[in-house]
This record gives sequence, structure tokens and C-alpha cells, in this order.
Amino acid sequence: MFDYTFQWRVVWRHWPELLQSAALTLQITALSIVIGLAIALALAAFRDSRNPGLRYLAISWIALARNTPALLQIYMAYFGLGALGIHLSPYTSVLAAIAFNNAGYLAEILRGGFSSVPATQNLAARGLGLSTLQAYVYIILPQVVRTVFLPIVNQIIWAMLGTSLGMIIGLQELAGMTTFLQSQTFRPFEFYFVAACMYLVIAKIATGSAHLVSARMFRW
Amino acid sequence: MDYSFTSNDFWLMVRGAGITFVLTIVSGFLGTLLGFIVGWARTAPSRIVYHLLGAYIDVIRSVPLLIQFVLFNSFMAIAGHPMDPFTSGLITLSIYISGYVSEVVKAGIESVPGVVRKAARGLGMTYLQDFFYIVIPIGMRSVFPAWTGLMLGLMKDTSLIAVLGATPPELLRASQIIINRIQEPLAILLGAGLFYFIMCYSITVMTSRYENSWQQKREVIR
Repeated sequence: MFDYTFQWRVVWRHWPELLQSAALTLQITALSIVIGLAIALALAAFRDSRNPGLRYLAISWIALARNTPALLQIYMAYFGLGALGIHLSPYTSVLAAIAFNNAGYLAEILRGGFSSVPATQNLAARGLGLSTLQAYVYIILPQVVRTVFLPIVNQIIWAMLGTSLGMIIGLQELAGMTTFLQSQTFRPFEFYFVAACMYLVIAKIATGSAHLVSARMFRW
Repeated sequence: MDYSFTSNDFWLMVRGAGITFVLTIVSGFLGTLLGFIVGWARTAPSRIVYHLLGAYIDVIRSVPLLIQFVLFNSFMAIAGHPMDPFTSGLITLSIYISGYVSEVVKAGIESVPGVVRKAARGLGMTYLQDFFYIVIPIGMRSVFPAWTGLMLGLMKDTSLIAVLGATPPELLRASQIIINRIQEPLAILLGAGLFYFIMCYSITVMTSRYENSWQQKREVIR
């Protein structure tokens, strides 16, 4: 069954390129989460706003981001916007699409976090003489952060896996670079195996450190 | 060659939506079956089984699905069993979703309080009777929404099967084929997005109605 000779040295020879592309993957992930989180905060606020325009904007953004495939969103940014005369590079398209997607999911996570704090806590804090700002910073936010911390970490991992879709439109992040290298060396299994291990290691480091942080920060 | 959107194109997209649906149903069924077994096995007292299957789940959940597709495909080729892209994609999707389903199943089984299970055993039920008549009806209901979410995610993830060049084309691949010919990306992608949205949204609405009926029954009992 196994008369195949594995060739790992060719992967080792291209190790610097793989590392560089992994750095690009991390960079897109980090940026997409920061942008996504900023938009998600706004969406979560708009979602319960009294202005119907803002409310429908938030509702439709969240519904669209969550009910269509991420790959479709990337196609939309890369091919679809081109029809409107907006030409984005593969890098910008992937970043925009993943950030759009993140914003939808993160908005729901944040909304869940805020609704998990009973409104009476705010009243109690105000009754004890705290100002609105103080009540938010000292009473509400710490509890929200504790609820949303691990779901956000999951979303970060998801965003990292999502950036691999960049390979389909020719972006050379980790998966894209792997595809490029295996097409030159004709060693698909070895290259994809190493790439899979790299994704696994990054994800394990991220979740491991997140659990350490949450164990220290949220002991109360 | 015709450069406009014809009725054939429309049917290609409808058929693509059908393929997406079939892929979701088949791999969802196989993946749920496998995930159920894995999740159940992880609630067994053996620590070795727990950690071994935990590693399986970890790998599935931290490697991009795209990489899993090509890795499985090239592994089967070098193992001497080359597969057609559609089958290998279907198997990969089933394995992929089983990793997520097993966590949900495990959570469901663990959500049943220990005293309930002890009471069942105390009434003379065997382990299997307790499992099938007590644990599954109670536990699986509580994780049903999470499972629905997974199936919706699966439906969107079937679009990635396109990297293998699987035929017949599912919805997104069909749209891509049409775009290549008529060069109208925006309209076609919006159409494909609408298809996905309707499919996902109708499932959400159906399942939430189902959940509500459970909720009402529970209130009647109370």
C-alpha cells in the first residue's frame, strides 16, 4: 500500500518562505480581529438603538455576515466590488471580507455579553453613588469581558483558519504559499502536512495562552 | 458563445444549490453519526480514550478545512487509493463536522444531572436503557440549537469543496463558472448569496419553531 517515499528535505529548504507566510497569516488575523471588534461594538450598540436606520443596518449586517459563506464574501470583495470600479488587492479583499465576517459574529458575542449583566446591577451601582462612567468601568465591563473572553478567542482562531481562503484568490499567506510551493515541487502531501502542523501549533499556542490568561484574570 | 445570463445558467445555479443541500445532508448525517460515537466515547471513564479522541478533535478544529481537503485527497492518492474529488470532499466534510458535533454531544450528555441517571439506574434500567430513554431525550434537546448552528456552518463550508475541482459543481462553483463566461461578478454573486441566505435562514426559522414547540410542551408538563 505504501510504496511512496516521503521527501521532507524540500520542505525544509522552503522553510523561510513558509515562516514568512505564516507571519502574514498572523498579521491579517490580528488586523481583521481589531477592525472586526471595532465595528462589532458599533453594531451591538446600533442593534438596540432607537433609530430604525441604524438598527436595520446592524440587523442586516449581522444576518448577511452569518448566513453566507466566508468564501462568497471574499469573492464579493475581490470580484464583486471590481464591477463597481473598486479594485482591491487580494490582501485587502481577504482582510475586508474576514473583518466583515468577524464583525457580524463578534457583534452577537458582545450583545450576549452585555445582556448577561442584569440591568439591576447598573441601578445598584448608581444607587451606591457611582457615576454612569464609573458604573460602566467598574461594574458592567469586567463582567462583560469575562463572559465574552473565550468566545472571542474562538473567533480569533476561526479568523485565522478563515484567512486560508486567501489561497483561492492567490494571496500568499500560509495556505496560499503552501499551494504555490507544492505546485513547483510536486510534493503536495509533505507541504500541506507541514502547513497543517503550523496552523495547529499557532492555534494551540493561542488557546493555551488564552486559558492561562483567563484563569489568572477571572478568578473571582 | 452567449455572454448573457440564460435560463440554463439559472438552472445550473438551482442545481448547484441542490448539490450544496445534498452535500450538507449527507456529510451532516455521516458526521453526526461519527461525532455522536466520538462524543459518547469521551464520556466513558477511560482517560486514555478521552485524551486520544480529544487530540483528534483538536486537530480537526485547528487546521483550515481547505488544508484538510487537499491533505486527505493527496493522502489517499499516495496510499494507493486515489478518489474522485467529490467523494474525498464528502468524506473530509463528514470527518470535519464530526469533530465539532462530538463536542456538542459530549456537552449534551454531561448536561444531564448525575442524580437523574442514578434515579434511572435505581429504577432498574440498564446502562443502555438509561442512555437511550433518559440521557438522549433530555441531553440532546438542550444542545439541539448548537447542533443546528453546526449544520448551518457546514452548509456554508461545502462551498470550499470547489478547491478540489469537484463535479457536479455546488452553488458557489456553479456561480464561478457562470461568472467566467458572462463577466458579471456582482449580480451573480449577489444571486448566489441570496440562495445561501434563503437556505440558511429557512433552516433557522424551521428549527426555532421546532424548539418553541418543545418549550411549550415543557411548560404544559410543568
